Amino acid sequence: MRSIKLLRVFICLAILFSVCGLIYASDKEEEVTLVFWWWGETELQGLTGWLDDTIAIFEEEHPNVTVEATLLDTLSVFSDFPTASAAGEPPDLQFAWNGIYVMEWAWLGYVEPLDEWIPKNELKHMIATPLSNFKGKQYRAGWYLFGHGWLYNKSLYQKAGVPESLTPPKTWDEWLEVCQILKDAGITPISLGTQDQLVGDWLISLFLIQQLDSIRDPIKLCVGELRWDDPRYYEYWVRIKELWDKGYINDDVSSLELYQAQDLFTKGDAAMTIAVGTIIPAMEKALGRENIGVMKTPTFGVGKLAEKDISYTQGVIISPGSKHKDLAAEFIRLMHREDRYNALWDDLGAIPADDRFNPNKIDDPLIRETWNWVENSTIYVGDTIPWAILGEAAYVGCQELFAGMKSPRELGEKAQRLAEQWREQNPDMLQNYFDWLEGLSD
Amino acid sequence: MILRTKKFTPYIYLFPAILILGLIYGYSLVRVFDFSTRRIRGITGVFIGLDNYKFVISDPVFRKAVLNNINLFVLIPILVFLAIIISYLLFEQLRGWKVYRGVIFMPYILPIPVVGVIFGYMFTLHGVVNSFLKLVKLDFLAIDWLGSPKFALWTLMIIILWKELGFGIILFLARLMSLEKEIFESAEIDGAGWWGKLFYVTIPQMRTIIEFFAIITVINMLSWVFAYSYTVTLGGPGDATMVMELFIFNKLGRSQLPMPGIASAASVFLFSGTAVLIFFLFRIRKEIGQEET
Repeated sequence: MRSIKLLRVFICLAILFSVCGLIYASDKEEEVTLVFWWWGETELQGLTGWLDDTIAIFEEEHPNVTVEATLLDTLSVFSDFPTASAAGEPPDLQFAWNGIYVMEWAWLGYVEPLDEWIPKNELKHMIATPLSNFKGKQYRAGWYLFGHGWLYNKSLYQKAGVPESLTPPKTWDEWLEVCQILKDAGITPISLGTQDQLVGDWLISLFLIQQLDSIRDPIKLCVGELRWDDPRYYEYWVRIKELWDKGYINDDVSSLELYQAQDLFTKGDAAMTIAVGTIIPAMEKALGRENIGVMKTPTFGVGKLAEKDISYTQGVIISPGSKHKDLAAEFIRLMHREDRYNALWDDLGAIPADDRFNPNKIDDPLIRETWNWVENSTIYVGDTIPWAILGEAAYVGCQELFAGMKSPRELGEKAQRLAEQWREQNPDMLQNYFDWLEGLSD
Repeated sequence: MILRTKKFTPYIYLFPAILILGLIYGYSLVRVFDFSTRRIRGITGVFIGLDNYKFVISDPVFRKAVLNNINLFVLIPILVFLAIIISYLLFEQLRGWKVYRGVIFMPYILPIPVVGVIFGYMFTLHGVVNSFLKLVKLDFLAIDWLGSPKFALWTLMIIILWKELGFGIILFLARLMSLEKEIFESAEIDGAGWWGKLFYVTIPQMRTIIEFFAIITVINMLSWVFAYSYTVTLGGPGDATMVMELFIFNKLGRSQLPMPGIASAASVFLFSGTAVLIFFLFRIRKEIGQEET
């Protein structure tokens, strides 16, 4: 009898321990690794430190989570994510440029709409621009943003005798006048470099916009509703060629890379260069804040968007293949928490892509000016053109123009041929473009 | 005792090796052919017949790439000739020849991206090369080496020549070192001069290794020049230094919407071209061998 009682006690204890064990096991959270492939250090020095701090905070708040951040080189941003997604092993979070760069991935099913993971009242603050939206869903959250235009060297302007009224030039004729004054003074007016082709994207985005009436126009050019070989849409090459033919651009444009050409400006060897806003703090350090000014591309265009400014928003996406989409969304929310977006400005002098950021904090007059551009900005043309067209027409096209291989008209014809070829090669994607076009309004 | 084996026995022993080779090379080759007939989205796609081949053939950039690859063949006789001469000079054991051998071979062991970046800087319009040419009053030679479509491919050839020559020299020198010294001594006794020994003794003795080097170089010029074109010029200016491998790479890796179908079709062309060329080269070699015997 006693042994039966003992057996009962033993069984009860065993059940109790088992239940306790199960409760303990369920309480102990699963160890999770969140993978984030990112880019940005190239254009925003110090971003690694900001991201490390953000990860440290996230890991402290989520003790069971480890965030593995991998910095990609520029080319890898193109290829690694779609390749990994196709193979079924994408990262949880991925850096993404805007527009077509995120849309084509989304159309292939590689991008998760954020609406389902981030509360609407928060998502609306994460500036991503309409180019990140498709059929009423937002696929990307902004990270940081910047104005896009030109830097000019005030000291060289003064040295050459550029009048105050032309500092900086606002119209095309004024720009030509300023360039001539600088050239006559023995100063290289503009420094550009096409060897790595990157400047092609910047040039098409800063110049073509002036000939457009609507943000839908570049997409219309690609889907065949407008034609690239219409003189209006290759006029921007005519203007760039005019600067080149008149000797206003450094003679080694074809053998220098984009950032080598910017170095000419940094060293005081050229009076103007094309630039993104994130480079301003470094330039101020190199040349002195009082010696630098920022300017928009002087106006030559006849389009309704000619007076618009250009800005760019970098962003982040979540992969549908992620097993931890909730945590990935949490991480994006942390990136947009007040302390973190303020740290972007305080630590790096970068403007966060969050409309809750108080722009009055921007005490640098130059960056403040580019902030005004952001507020008056329109789309970035390069984000609306499929790579199959953009890569050859703009990236390679700028080399062909400066090397004398193709005239502006021939570049227009080339872009038209590429657009036709792209439509023929991607008939399954075309409807998506039409749908995307439908969703965009000026 | 005569050991008799059944006819299929050797194939049983060979089967594991054939299986492994088939999996490594055969499968990927089949997939490339398969991809080339599809509009790939992700890892598969709809069958579109020969459309990708049509796209590739009608693409002027691809045609230019093929032409550039063929133009690079100019390097083959230059490489062979220089490698023979220099290796022969080293074989003669000039004073300090071991140092020269090390210096000449050094470019070959440098990574191509490093070479590409350094030469990219050196050959800019206001770079070291042109500064030197101006210093020695050769201003007319100070051209835009990499920025001009007229000169970019030739400049690329100079870089390839500088980098690849070392391999040929070491290869030939190793062969020369293995030759019997008596042959050269006999030639000298018979009155052969430096050139005579080179043409009538050395080169015939090195025929096989020269053929090997030439074949390797042909393959290199067709399908091993990507790294040069990519790191030095990105195929530019325009398409002046575009090669087939870079074209394939651009369709795959330099696009937010990769085009594996088109890249595969271009790969099939490259593979076929290389295979045909190698077949003919081996055939020529066989014919030469038969003539000799």
